Amino acid sequence: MQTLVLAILGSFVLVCQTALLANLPPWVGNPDLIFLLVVYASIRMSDFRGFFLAIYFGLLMDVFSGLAPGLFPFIYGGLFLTAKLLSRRIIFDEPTHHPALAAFGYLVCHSVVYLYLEIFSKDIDLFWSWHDLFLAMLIQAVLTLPLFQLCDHLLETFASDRKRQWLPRRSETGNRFTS
Amino acid sequence: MKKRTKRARPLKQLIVLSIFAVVCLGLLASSVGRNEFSGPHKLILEILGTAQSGFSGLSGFGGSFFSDYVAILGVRDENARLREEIKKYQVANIKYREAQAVNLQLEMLLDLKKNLPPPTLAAVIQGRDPSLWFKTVIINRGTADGVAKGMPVVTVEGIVGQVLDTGTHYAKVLLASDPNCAVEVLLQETRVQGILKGTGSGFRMHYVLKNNEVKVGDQVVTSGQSDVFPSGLPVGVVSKVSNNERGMFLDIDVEPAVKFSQLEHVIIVMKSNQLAN
Repeated sequence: MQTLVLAILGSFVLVCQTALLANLPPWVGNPDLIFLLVVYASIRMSDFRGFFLAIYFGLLMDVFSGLAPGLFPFIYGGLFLTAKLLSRRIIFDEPTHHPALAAFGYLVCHSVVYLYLEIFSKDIDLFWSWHDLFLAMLIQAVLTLPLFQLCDHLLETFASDRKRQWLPRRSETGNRFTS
Repeated sequence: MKKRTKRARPLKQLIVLSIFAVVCLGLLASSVGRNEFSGPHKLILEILGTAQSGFSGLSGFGGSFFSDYVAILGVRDENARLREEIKKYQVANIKYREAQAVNLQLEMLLDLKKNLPPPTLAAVIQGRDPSLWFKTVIINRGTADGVAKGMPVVTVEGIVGQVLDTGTHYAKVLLASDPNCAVEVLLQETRVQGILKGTGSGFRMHYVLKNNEVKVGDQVVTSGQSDVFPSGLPVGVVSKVSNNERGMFLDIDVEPAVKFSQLEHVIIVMKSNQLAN
């Protein structure tokens, strides 16, 4: 259920990001929310489910971006595994660590992919701008906590046992045999 | 003393009545036979007129206060209604302006379509690339409309890019500003040729030898040699020319004619491109 909720949220977020937020000025309208969701999955979800989500988000991104299909699943799969490995070695459960993790992860992810494609792939040229990259890192860091809070809230609401509370519960009258 | 007082009261009343009767008779006598007010009449009229004026003003104030109060009750509703109407007209005005702007844009696209080799197809931008690495957009035309990979996409201002991937009803367009997009271009005035590549935000013209004369402000257009874009389409304006000591080519920055961040409507030139396949 958690995987489904996050998959739906990711699809929704990507559509909003490409159709609505892209019309805003670049400094506010270009957050990479899917990237943040992959980071969230690496912190909160189990290996198998999180990896599946990362690949799914990569496939989504392939549709809306990129030149060579398969590039983004590769990137997000690698990002998930790296973040998962880090989160095992270092405690990333503290909310104060999350913005730093997201911003630093964004920088590392971009750098690794750029270097890899520059060295090994002559077919694809990546656009690189330090200004845009730092701006994006800042936006990622700012949005990390609200997005993670939203995800926590959604998972708690839709994907936990608390959903049973939506149903009307039988009133507890106590034990009628004890006076 | 009491007896004197009781006796004096009728006398006093009699005197007052007598004076009153004399005054009345005097007034009567002064007005009989004359067609205008006498002095006492005028005096009385002034005094009572003033009082009358005061009272009528007071009643007028009260009347108008009441009518104003009643009117205010109506004005509040009317005010709300007028505000609603203003809102409606404002919305209508915005829609009208938007329609006018779109109409103008479509008219220009129509003019462009007449100048392009047929067939052409108009499309609307649906979404933009969310990543920092690539510059692509999604348009609302796909294979069902005859769109195929490699078809050039243009707009009134100039070239936009090429169709990169297609779905049934949507297609992904690689913008000319992407580093992976290359277009054969020439300088309109001097006919110097080169290859234009995207830099993310603008263009850079490559492979122009240093012995060519290139200056800022030169118009750059498509050369049409690669058989992708029709020849003569505007691409941009030379914004910077650098002459490096090393190498045999000039570094030429080109300011795009198209504002990629403001793209809304585009035209797909429906020509098959063997290179794309």
